[in-house]
Amino acid sequence: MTAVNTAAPELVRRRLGGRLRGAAAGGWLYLVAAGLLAIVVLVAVLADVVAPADPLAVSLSDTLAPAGPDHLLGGDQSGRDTLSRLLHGARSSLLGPLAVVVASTATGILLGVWAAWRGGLVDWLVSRSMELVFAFPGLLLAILAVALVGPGLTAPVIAMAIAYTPYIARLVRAAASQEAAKPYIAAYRVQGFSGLAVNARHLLPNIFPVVLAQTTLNFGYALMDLAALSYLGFGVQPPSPDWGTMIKENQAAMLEGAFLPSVAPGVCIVVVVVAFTIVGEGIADRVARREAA
Amino acid sequence: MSAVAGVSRFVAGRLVSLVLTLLATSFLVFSAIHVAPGDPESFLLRGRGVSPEALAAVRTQYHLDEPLPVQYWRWLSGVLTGDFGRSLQFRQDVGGLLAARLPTTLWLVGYATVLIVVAGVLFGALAALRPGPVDTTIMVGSTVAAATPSFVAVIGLSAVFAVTLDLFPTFGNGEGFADRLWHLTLPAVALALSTVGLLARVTRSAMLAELGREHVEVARARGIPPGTVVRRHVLRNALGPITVLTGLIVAGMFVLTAIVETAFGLSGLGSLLVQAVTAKDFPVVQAISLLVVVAFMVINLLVDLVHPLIDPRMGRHDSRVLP
Amino acid sequence: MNVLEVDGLTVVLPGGSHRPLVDGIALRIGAGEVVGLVGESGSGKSVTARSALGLFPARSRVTGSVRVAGTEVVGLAGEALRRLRAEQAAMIFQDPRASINPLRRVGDFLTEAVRTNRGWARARSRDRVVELLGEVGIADPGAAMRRYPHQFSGGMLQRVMIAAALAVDPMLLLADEPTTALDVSTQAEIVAILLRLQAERGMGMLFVTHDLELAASICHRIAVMYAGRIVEEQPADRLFRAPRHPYTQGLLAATPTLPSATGGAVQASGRLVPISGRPLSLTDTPPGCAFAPRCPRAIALCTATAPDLHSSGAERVACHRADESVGAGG
Repeated sequence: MTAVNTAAPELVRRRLGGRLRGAAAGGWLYLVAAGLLAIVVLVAVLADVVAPADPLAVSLSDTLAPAGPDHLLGGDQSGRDTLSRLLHGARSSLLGPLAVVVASTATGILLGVWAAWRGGLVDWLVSRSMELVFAFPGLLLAILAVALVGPGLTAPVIAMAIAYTPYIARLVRAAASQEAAKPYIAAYRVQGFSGLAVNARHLLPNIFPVVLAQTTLNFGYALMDLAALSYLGFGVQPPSPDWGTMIKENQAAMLEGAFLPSVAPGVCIVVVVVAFTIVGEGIADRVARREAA
Repeated sequence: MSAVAGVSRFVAGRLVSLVLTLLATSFLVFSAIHVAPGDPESFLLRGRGVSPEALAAVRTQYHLDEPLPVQYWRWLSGVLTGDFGRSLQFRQDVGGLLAARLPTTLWLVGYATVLIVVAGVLFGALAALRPGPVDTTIMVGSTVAAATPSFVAVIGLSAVFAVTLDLFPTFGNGEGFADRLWHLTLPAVALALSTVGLLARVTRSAMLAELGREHVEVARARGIPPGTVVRRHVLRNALGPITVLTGLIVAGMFVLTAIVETAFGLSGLGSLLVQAVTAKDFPVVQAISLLVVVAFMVINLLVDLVHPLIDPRMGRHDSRVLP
Repeated sequence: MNVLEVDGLTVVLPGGSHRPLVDGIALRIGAGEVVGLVGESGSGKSVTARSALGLFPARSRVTGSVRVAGTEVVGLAGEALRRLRAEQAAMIFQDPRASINPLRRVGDFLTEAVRTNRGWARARSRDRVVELLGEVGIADPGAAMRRYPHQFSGGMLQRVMIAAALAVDPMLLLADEPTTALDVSTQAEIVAILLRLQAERGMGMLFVTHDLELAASICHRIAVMYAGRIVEEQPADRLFRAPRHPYTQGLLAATPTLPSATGGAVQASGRLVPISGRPLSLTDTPPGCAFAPRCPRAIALCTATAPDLHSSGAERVACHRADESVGAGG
């Protein structure tokens, strides 16, 4: 139907180029990015321990306080400690996308394998539904979900899980059809192994790296989309700390010259998404090299 | 088969599949009120006085007394004649609301598209033709730009160009051509930033692939000037992937206007969508969602139709070979 | 006057551990003369042919001299190199389908050179190209110009390539395996067209091929290359009758020959004798003759020192045992 759908199913990716690519595939850049993500996850888990202050503690005397020994990254519109809100905000900023990619990857694998294995009508139905979902940008589906159910993370996460499923399903379907056509699968079937057993033992491990690469890249996209929803006021609700919400809350202060409270969460988003891109591309390039070898 | 018949069959096939997909997506958008928790009437009237008259008005507007396919058919035939129902929040026809807001959004999307194409192709070509530090710098920049969502770009751009340098306004639509461009510059840049990097990267790899082709070396061997070789053979042949991606970017941009228009206080379709969601004004949400999806599909159709013009080997069935 | 004069041309890839792609090549082509350059793939014949257009491999080191119609090509760059390519020499490549931009009309390809380099108007270049298409045997040239490359067969595209090469009236035509990618019946047609147009215009032509018999049937003179060097050069009929280098002898022995074709076929028995062993790879750098490991006549001297290319009259041969091997070809 559309250019997206007729294109050969391959990773939907933001390619790194030139020297960056080499560094991402095997070397230091990949390790730095992976290490950075590990630190961010650790911080999110240990936010209660590492945060210097209560992220919700309002202190009018610290309103828009500059960076200093009391507040390393200053105070926000309501005098809350920006650093503490950033550290706590990592939780919702990462948990939402995590739920999206786990749900979409699981559904995508199931649908893709099912379509490839059964073929015929099942394949047709799955493929057409995936095309239909492609016509709805993830953000639009999430906004529609908020309109139906009301603000909060649950509805947008479900909507975006649906929107991200076709990327995985298409990838898995193509890989599984290829794999299913190989002689060894037929040999297993002849020996009386059930389709499920063959799939679980032989097919999935082979397509796992490609799926992992796409899932990693999806994590970055989902993070941006969910943060955008929170920025619009549809996602994480104040006063809970979230990177998207923090930008919204402090945008007015930014226009008056207090940059830190809104720029800091923006930088966090960009850095984490860049790290996810590098790691995802690194995995994708390893897959490509393994296939070329 | 003649070339004309081949082309018209190709176009007809695409149109049919477009109509079928439109029917399916519009049905999804319409039936969304039945997916919402609670019964459709109270969903539509959330937070408003549930007087018997209001309830009756909503039942009539949505034909809720009739079976679902009939409801859908009546709604669809209304939409096709420009009747999107009445806004619960503004108490006026949705069609009129949309028409008033549409120009700003089209301006914004058009402006951003020009920025994306010009900057993306320029940076991509530069990276392809200047390996080394120029290439690396552009690639690093585009990786960071691609990871910058538009609302983060809003913050960065406002901080630098509006607050610190005081060059551009951060609020309002503007009047007249020049003033409008001035007001829309920061929003358009914010909208364009993350996809400029994407287009630059695709341009770069498509041009590098083309630079390695034999016909490019043959053109050089024939003494064709370097600039002409790049323009007529390298860039020209890279247009396929560039057009496809540009189409996808523009198609996906309409929903991103929600963020940018809200951030810069522009009154367009995007900010209307956000207001409508906040005010639980579902007819407006429905109409804008439908428009976004239709825009997405129509733009992709256009790209599909333009592609054979860019690559004569595609789409036509007139590939018979002379003896 | 010579349209091509190559002297001591040596091209070395960066890195150092390789032998030169071509080593000390010397070659002359006069106006109206057809010279064959014969060898296996990797022997350096294409590198030699491309040097006439200043098309050297990226970052390679080039020494020696290549003069096209008196203009020195080695070291030539920028506008001067472009003018040389646009006016003095033209090349026809092995795979016409890869050589022509698939997204542009054939007419675009044909008129591009005269329009961009000579500033000819659309109508004038069109008339010129229509005339040339007729000369290379394309019916309805006007319609052909509006078509795209994928609508032509390989043979037709090679005719288009020839017409495009002739559009600039070159003094030197370089044909790099122009028939290899075509089927046999088309090959003969293309060769016939090339020879006719070459003779009509009095161009010098360098015909690169791995097919010694084909070269012998169309060229005035033939140079045989092995591992980056010219090992033998003779007038075509003499080379075919009395090859002096063991490699040339081996090539002829491995060629199926119809005795009636040229009358002077060395090999009437029809038994083919392939050359044993493998061609030298780029990383092999033996001190002696590069062909020695495969040569049935090699002696100790051959593996110790490389033979020089000795001239006597119209022939040149690089073999320590060349004088002994006269008449031993059969």
